[in-house]
Amino acid sequence: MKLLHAADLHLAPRLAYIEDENNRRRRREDFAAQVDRLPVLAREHAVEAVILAGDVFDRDLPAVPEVGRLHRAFQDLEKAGVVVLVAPGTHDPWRPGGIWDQRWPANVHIFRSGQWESVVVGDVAFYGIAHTGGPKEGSLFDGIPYTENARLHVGIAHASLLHAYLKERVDGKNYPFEEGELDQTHFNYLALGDHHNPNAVTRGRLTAAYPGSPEGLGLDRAEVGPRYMLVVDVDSVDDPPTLQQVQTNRREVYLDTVSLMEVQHEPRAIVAEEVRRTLLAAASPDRLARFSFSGTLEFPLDIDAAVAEAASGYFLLDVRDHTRMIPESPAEARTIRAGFEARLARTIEQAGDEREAEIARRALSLGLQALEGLL
Amino acid sequence: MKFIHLEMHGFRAYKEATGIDFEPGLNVFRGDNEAGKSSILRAIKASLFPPRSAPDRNACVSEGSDICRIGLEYELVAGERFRVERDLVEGQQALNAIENGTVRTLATGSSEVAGLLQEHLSCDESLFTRTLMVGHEDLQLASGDELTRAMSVRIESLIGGAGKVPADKAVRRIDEVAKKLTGPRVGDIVVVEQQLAEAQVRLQRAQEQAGRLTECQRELESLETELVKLHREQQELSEGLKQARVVADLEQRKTTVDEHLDLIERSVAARDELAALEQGAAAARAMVSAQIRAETMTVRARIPIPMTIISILLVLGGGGSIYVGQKLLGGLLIGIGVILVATTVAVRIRAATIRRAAIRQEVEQRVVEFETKREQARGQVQALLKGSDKDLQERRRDMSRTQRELEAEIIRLEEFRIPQAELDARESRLGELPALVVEAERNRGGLQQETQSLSAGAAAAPDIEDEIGVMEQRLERLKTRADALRLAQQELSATIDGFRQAIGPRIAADATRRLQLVVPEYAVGLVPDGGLTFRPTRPDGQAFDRLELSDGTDDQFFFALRVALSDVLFSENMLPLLLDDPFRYSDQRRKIELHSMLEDMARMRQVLYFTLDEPEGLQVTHQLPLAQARR
Repeated sequence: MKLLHAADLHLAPRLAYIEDENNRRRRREDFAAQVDRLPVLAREHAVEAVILAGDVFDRDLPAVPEVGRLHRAFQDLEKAGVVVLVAPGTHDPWRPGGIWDQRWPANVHIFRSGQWESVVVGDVAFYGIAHTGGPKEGSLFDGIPYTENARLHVGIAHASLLHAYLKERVDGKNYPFEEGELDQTHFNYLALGDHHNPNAVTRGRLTAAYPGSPEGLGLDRAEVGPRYMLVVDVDSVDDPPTLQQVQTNRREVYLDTVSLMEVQHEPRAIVAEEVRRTLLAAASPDRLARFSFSGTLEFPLDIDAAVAEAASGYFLLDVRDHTRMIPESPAEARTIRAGFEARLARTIEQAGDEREAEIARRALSLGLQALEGLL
Repeated sequence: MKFIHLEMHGFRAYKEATGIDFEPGLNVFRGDNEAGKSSILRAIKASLFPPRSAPDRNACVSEGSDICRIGLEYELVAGERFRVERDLVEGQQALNAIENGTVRTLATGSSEVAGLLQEHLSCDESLFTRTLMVGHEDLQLASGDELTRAMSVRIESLIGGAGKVPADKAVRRIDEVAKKLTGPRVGDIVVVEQQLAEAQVRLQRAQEQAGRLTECQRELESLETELVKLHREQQELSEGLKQARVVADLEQRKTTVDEHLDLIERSVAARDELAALEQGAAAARAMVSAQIRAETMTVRARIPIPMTIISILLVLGGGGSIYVGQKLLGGLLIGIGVILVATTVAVRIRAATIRRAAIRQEVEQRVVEFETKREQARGQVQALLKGSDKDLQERRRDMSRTQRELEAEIIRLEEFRIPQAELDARESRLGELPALVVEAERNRGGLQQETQSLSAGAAAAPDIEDEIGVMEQRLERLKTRADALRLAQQELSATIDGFRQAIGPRIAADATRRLQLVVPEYAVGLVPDGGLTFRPTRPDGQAFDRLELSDGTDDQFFFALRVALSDVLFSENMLPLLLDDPFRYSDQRRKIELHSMLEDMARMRQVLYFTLDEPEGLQVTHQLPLAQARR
């Protein structure tokens, strides 16, 4: 059986990081357009079932127009004879009156319980678990029923595989599990959602995969680069399924950290040109980019002009100035500037928390800008 | 820096063109009142800092003059020579560089000229007036006033500078930017907070609409279900009633057929009965005839035979008698026989007649009865069905068949057969349903409309949430920036204050040194925590009320302070010191000491000393009034 596995569509996403209202609207449409892809890809790849492994919606607001759009896509899939299986996620959990508690077409099965349930399509048994707002007691994979007469077994969950770097950060509500726990399941394939980075692990005959978010949700490392849905061919009882990534993103999230250390001692104009050149080189109208400039300079980084020039080449351009000033002269130098820098250096060093330190860093930068006539 | 030459034409006391060459060191101007001392001082100041207001400018113009021109030539420490020229009537000015006797105009715009002059002087008007033009007025240095700021700028330039912008100006700029952010009415933060509050109200409204929308959708679903039920009920009732009506119609038809058949049956029976009655009547009539005949026969038969025989015998006897001639006897016998026979017959006939009449009456009565019945039967037959018996028979067969068919159909539709009361109730319910459907459809229409109108509002919630998110981030950024600006302002101000405090003691020490040359019992002290505020103190630094000073000592205090300030602030280009008779209240001894001090100072810098009195110990370089050129 061929499956189309998508997750983390995050329809009606939170886009507060995009200041421009028109761009927010366009970006929201990018996400909504992923819904239209489902029937297209289902037909193109002749899949029999579409799996949506959670966080289809970014927020549990039943009034969002994307609901109607998804409904139409499901109807289209129904006409094509494709079954849709949905495991609600952390952003769009199952709840009475919630976004999933609606009349969906007959081909759509929404898993509504915080315990595993099964539904059989042909000779494949699908097992799904919904997020209902709280953590699951015991192991994620406890209590999976077994369907005797099914040839293949496919699990669907919005759950967090605990990579080493994630262990301390994952809340119980995210249905965390260790890779080893997969061995206790009888699944041939586990369709996962939650991690926005595409990823797959295979243990014996079982493959568990995250397709990732089909559009980059924010200016975050996990959202960078091309985005995918998965076409999964689950056929053999003994061999793991085959996975094919289908690129889906309309626009691309791009992050870059640029060190200005090489031009540290260059004149202001050279540094400004370096910034300008860097920004223009990566420009693309479908790119949401964040540049973080770092390094130690002799003067405050004046990037406004370069950002203004390059901004039109991007869908979104966000530039962070993490540069630091080279102390102008030794601390004992009798200048107001040096005295000011020395005072704020002490404030930064003695700051009680990160915000206090950040404010002191900014105060230093603003004061220096004012003294340089740049404020 | 030193002044080289001053020219005045139409300026206050100098109506005619007048020129003054200055000595590089000490210049002593002596003149009585109205001799033109103040005019020279004001001409120097107006050359460097022209009066801004029209009344001030007009006050510079000599009485009756239509021109007012001044020009000041000066030389910087490095030897560069410049000349500033102003026409206060025409409002024109120029700053020229003088190189090897040639004049090159550097600037003619007022701000350009002012900029260049400030660059050459290293000070602005307030600092020049309050520091370099020493009169006998005191010198208050309140923290934050214009002079203090000007001094700060100067101090910054002396201590190595803060950047392209003087630190004090940078503080003010930071303050401006911070105020733009935090202003109580139109500050960016207040504006964003207001926008945020408005957006939150809109979000709340959208969320309420979303809540109501969910309710509406539920109600709509429930109403849809109700409508489906109503329609189904309507359909089922309608179908049931239709069948029930069919059954009722069949039963009605069957009743009609039954009745018709009954009528036929009754018609047939009536006809049979009529026939029977007809037969009965005929029989009755026959019976009457028969009875009458019988009665007649009976009457005949009942004439007694012996009487008949006797009569016959009498008649025969009589006949015989007659024959025999016994006519009387024979006639008698015959008469008696005839009478006997007649009487017997008459009696018999009378009896038979009575009986026959009775029989006839009875028979006729029966006939009448028959005929009545027959007539009734005929009437019935006529009232029932016409046609021949054959027709009736055929009709009876047809009706019977129809009746059987109806009975079969009724049995087939038995399930739809409902009691009339129930049928009536269902009819009544069916009658009510259209109104209920209309009501439900109207409610549905209302809800659909409300849903539609709520949808747009509710659908806006994510956009408003994003808008709020953007505003919250913007607000956070603005607040962080405002906090950072306040901190920057605070730290930069503190740094400047620190430097003021550091340079203050130098000024105080210099001023004390100069003051004590004249009045050793006094010193110049720095007011603690007062920025650059100075006060007279005892030599040990102990403060005492300045009011205790005499006017002369007061003047000497401020003279020393100003010179010290000037020395500290303008040590690199040593601006000329303009002294407008500052020692007028000093006693002779102190004046001599002060004049001596001026001579010392003039070795380092140019001094322009204007005095009313003969300056003891000093040589007058310029006796006033000056000779003015005559046109």
